[in-house]
Amino acid sequence: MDSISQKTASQKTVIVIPVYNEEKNIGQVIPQVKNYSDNIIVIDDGSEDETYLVAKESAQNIQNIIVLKHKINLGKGAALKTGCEAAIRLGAGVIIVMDGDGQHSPTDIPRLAEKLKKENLDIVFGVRQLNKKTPILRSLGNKILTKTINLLSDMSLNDSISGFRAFTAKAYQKIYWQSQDYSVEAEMIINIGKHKLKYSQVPIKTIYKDSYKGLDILIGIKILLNLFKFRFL
Amino acid sequence: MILGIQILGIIFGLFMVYLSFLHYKRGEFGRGQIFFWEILWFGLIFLVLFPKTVGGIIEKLGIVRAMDLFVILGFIFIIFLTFYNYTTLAKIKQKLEKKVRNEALKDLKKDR
Repeated sequence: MDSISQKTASQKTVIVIPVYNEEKNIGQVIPQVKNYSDNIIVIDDGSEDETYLVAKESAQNIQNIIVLKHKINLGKGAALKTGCEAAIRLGAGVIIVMDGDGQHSPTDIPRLAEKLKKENLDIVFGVRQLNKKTPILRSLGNKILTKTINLLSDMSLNDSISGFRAFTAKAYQKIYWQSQDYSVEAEMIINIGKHKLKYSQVPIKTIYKDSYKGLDILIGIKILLNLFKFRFL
Repeated sequence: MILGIQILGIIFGLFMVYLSFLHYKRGEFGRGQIFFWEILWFGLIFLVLFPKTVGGIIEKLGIVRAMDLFVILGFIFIIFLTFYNYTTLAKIKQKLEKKVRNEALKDLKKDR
């Protein structure tokens, strides 16, 4: 292991979880994630339900879990940025971002972190395995977006809109995004391509829920249009 | 003789004069703003009533009718407004995001 790898391996890892109206899931997600990381930051993005209270309650008797709250709903990109800024202030060397709706399995956290540290990468993407359980529209939308993003970023990713990612604090300064909404994942990739950062992918489990409320076709179109703005403006 | 399209223009102009005055009455416009908008709307009404006053400009620009000049100016104004609204909105969004983030990060100090 070279000196840079050794440095990355010893760096503090912080998990950032943005949430919006997740009172039903966040109470289960926090203890599960805690099994794999000592430092967790949950950002409630101005939820209208009891997400903040449930998260605070779950974090009450556990050390090193911080729950922050946006007074109004700004969007996933803004919540992620707040979480990353907080992680940097806490001295994080590695930041892992994941969704708080229970669709990402915390058991994948060590695999992402290990890959990043061992191979001395800037960023590692969690790649969802599209199977028969994946809704057709989502599968098609994902393929269109991924192909376009790959084309514009000159990268080769299998799942461009997965929100499960691990990156170094140094890489965060380069992939720093302006998107406040769901375009954040796409903007991150375009910035990675622009700065030619070292990246890799790790297959992850995905639990699809009936009450999925993330990307829809309108958001997909918006991301697609924004891609050209990120790349050329 | 006043044409139908001129009547429409005058009604629109008078409506905008009233709307601008309403904003002034509510305190949403300052004196400078109400002055600017009222001059603009009365100017529009005047041009709708006497389109020949812009005859010289129309000739110089190679435009056939006064109506065409109004449509072109209208489009230019709309494009300018769209750009202005876009940049203003982007600025407001950024300021709001910064403010909300700073408020949230204050809790980080408390939690530590």
